[in-house]
Amino acid sequence: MTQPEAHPRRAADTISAGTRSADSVPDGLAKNPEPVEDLDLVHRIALRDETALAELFERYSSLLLALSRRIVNETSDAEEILQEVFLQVWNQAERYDRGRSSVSTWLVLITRSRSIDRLRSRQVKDRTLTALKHEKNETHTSPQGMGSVLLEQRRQRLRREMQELPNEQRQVLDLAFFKGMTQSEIAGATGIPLGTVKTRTLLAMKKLRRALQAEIEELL
Amino acid sequence: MSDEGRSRELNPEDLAIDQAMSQVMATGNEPRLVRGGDAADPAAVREYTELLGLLPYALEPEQPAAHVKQSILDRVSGAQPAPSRAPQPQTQRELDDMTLYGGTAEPVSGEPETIVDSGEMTLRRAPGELPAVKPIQPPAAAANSSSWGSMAIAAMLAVCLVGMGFLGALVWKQSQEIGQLHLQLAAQPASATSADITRVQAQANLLQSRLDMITNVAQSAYPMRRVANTGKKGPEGIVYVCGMHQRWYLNLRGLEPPAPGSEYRLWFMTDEGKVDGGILDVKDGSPAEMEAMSMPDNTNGFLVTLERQDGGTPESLTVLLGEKAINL
Repeated sequence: MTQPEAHPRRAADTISAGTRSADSVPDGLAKNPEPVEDLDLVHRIALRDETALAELFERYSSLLLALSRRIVNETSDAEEILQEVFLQVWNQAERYDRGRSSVSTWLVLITRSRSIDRLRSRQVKDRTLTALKHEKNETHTSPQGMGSVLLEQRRQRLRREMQELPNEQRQVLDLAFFKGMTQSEIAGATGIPLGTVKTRTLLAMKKLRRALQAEIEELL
Repeated sequence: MSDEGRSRELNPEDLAIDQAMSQVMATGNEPRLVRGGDAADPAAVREYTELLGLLPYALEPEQPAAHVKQSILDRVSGAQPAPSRAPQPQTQRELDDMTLYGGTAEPVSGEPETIVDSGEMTLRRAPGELPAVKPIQPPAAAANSSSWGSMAIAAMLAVCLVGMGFLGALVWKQSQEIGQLHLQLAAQPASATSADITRVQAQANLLQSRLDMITNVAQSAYPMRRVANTGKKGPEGIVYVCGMHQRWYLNLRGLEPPAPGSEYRLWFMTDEGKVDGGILDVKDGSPAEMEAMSMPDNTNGFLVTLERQDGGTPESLTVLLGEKAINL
């Protein structure tokens, strides 16, 4: 079976498409050529090129499925949401605004939004939070190839930076992003004062921005 | 930052984070709207938006089942549409409504479907476009409901039909306006300045953006009904809400300009009470429009009131109410 690559890269692409110096990227991470390639795919999708949609699916489906399942805690629901996301991409590709976000962020935000809508409609937030504690990632697959190596570097870096956040900061960011909880809801659920929730959120975001500056710049 | 979240002063970076998060996800019950004077540094907002987009990379990737991709490709090619969980239309009227407004009656061919043809421009929708409506209770199930349930469904359908009628009219009008603007652009005389062209183009882009929201992006709509039904034709309107970024757009028509010393004001109805949405600019004969990129959390309806500033009574009179959402 073809291995989906959430953010694949090819060596040739890295050479031809980079617009910045790879020297500025930490950890030996080659510069990301995807913004150009992803954009091209989106343009082709807007022209009703099904192969481009298939390619975009191969690139991002594993990332987006992981995100959706993390939120809804149900593989079948997450796969259904994944279908909805790519159908939305198919229908709205011409309205993708490069100035607003990268393609990958666009996809992530669509997926997150749909997943949280689903989560709220099912009102299973509490059940999900409980079940997540006992869950195992049974469907994890090992990515292969150059793109996946680089993708794995990105994942490791994200995990490391997330782990380096103080627990209380990671907690509020996790509840806000992956559980769709408002800051008021976080305050209510955790017993932390609302102002403290806001402060922790701001601190976490600032730390991550500094730590992940290179990754962010790749997407701009 | 103090615990007094609503009144705290945000430094520029905090403001950028706040704005990025409010665009991407819910950020608490701060009834702050993103307006011109409230803008953070766009570059910083963009960086924080991308940062949020990176967060899922910390998760272990998961491979979808093979049928997921195939199902998507089948649907976009029109070869074998995936079965929908929503009910199939029972009548031609239902078919027409669902086809126009994003229901399950999607054309199975690969040809785009004409949804608006104003004579000057044609809007087309490809198969599978527009989000599916939430399933309406099918007749068989409805028959088992209580009479109160049936009445509630009938009332909801009536609200939907009013909203849908408004939607159709709005789509028609906006598409006409866009078409006229494009004609203006095409017919610009040689003496037209670049400022003139830019102005018309910007106007066309704004209308196109609104039309896109109405026809594709909006996930729910709140028809605004008159609170005092005099039986005469009066003001009506609709608020479209985009679930992804909480973008919203209000279009009202038929409101008479307020008397001197009065103003129309929009309110968001939330679980915590009503939140000020701003003053409506109402001119005689023109629709009143408002839009913004965010709204308070837990907004479950909208109010338009006539506010008196001269100390007279009543100080506030509710004119329009929108509390029943249509899922588009």
